[in-house]
Amino acid sequence: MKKFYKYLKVWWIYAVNTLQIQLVVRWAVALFLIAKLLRFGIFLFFIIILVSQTRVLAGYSLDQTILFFLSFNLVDILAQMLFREVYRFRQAIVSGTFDFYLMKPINVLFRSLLGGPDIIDFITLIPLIWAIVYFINSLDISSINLFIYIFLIIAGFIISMAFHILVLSLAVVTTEIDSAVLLYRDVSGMGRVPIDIYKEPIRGLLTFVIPVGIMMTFPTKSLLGLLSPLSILYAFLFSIVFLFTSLKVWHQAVLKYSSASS
Amino acid sequence: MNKYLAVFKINWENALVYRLNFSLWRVRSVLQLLLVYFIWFSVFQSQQRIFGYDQSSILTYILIAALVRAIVLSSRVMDVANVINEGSVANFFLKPISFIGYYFIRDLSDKLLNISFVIFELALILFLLKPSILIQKNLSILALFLLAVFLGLFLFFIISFIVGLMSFWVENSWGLFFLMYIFLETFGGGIFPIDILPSPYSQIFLIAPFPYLLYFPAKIYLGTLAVPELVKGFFILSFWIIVLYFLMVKLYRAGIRQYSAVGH
Repeated sequence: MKKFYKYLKVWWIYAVNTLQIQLVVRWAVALFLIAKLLRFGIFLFFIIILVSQTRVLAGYSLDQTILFFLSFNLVDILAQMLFREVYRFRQAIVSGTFDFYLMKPINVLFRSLLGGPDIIDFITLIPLIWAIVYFINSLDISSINLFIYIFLIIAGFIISMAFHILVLSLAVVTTEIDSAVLLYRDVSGMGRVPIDIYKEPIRGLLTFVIPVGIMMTFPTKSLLGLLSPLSILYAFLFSIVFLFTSLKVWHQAVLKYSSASS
Repeated sequence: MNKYLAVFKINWENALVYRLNFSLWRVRSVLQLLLVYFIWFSVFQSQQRIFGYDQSSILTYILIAALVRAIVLSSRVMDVANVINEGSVANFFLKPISFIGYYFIRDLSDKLLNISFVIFELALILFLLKPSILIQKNLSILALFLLAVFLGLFLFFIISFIVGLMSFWVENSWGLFFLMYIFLETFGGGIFPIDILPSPYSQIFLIAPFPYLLYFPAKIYLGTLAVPELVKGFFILSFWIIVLYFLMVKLYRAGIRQYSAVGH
């Protein structure tokens, strides 16, 4: 427990430091925030005008489709907020700064993954969670489905974390990371809408190979009572196995690390 | 002229050195296309016609917009911001090469590389998904389409360059670039054709430069624009190119006037 508080305190220092750096150019932070809200709002608007014409999208009503989109954003923003340091990690590798990470009495994965949280994203989380609660209330959801929904959102977040750890490992081994992390963003972005809209074999790939379906679609499906117990179990097991695999890969990557700079 | 050809060649070779990076960039473009393609495909499973489009015309629009995107929007002009912030822009003042010309030639080189890839990607998508699409055979329409793409390419270069030049005055222009890309995604017409929006909104957006980067060329290809709409479109497109070009040149001159280099 003492160790947990120590890391919580360190994380808080990271968060405050990052925020202070961001606030040096305040107008740029404001622009980023506006642009993010605009992107969110426009895609939501697109879904609304589209589904209000067709009544359904892949068998889902407008409210349900919006809930899929909001759930995607919840997992995506949480990951963006907490794992922002991954986007800066390449610089730490090519400049040799990673050597300093290794020397410090803080877990090196903790530093690399959570060392630069973007607290500004937290501002967008508040209205998002409010909107999710609003739509859940309007859809008459049972409490057991709600519990499974929260459980699967956590599973989705764990998968997202595992992806980010794999990207870090790739950076340690190859020093290339920029496209890999953006590729992850685009792959996960396919979960903005229920993966049922995709044809096979893409749908199968997004469920079983690249688990976008588990991360983004399964939570809302469970909320609507459309997910079998077997799929819930699969999501749980997949997230755990994927996390442990990514940790193993990270460990191997760090063992192979040779300082890139002096 | 030879020096610009050399820049073209070097940039092409550079891109081929970082093949993994470039390939991943293209994979990302395909993923973005698949998302939009399947949303629209899914919509037409329950409707024959929506917003005045049938399935064939909207899927053609999406695929043509993807092709136009690879030509018009593939650009490295955002590097301008870095070059100014890091101070390496001073190198350009010493070399017998135009700063603007250098980046324009680099862009052309990038576009050629992207075109060769996007043709292959679209062919693969057509082969795998077999969508029913419209093949435009009218040569006048095709000529107008190519003209719109060509002008759109200039327009995007100028807009991006102006945003990059802001680094002469501000420390961090990434916020501006990010906002520009959001406007592009939204009002450029890459996700949906602008004319599906209610009329007053679409008319307002069509005065802005962004719809002339993707939406206008793709609509020309579909052959659904009447002559007055084509004339109006080309007029607005040319207007923005001329106005923004002069703004770009003015900003560049103002930027280098007040620029002071520090370093070793």
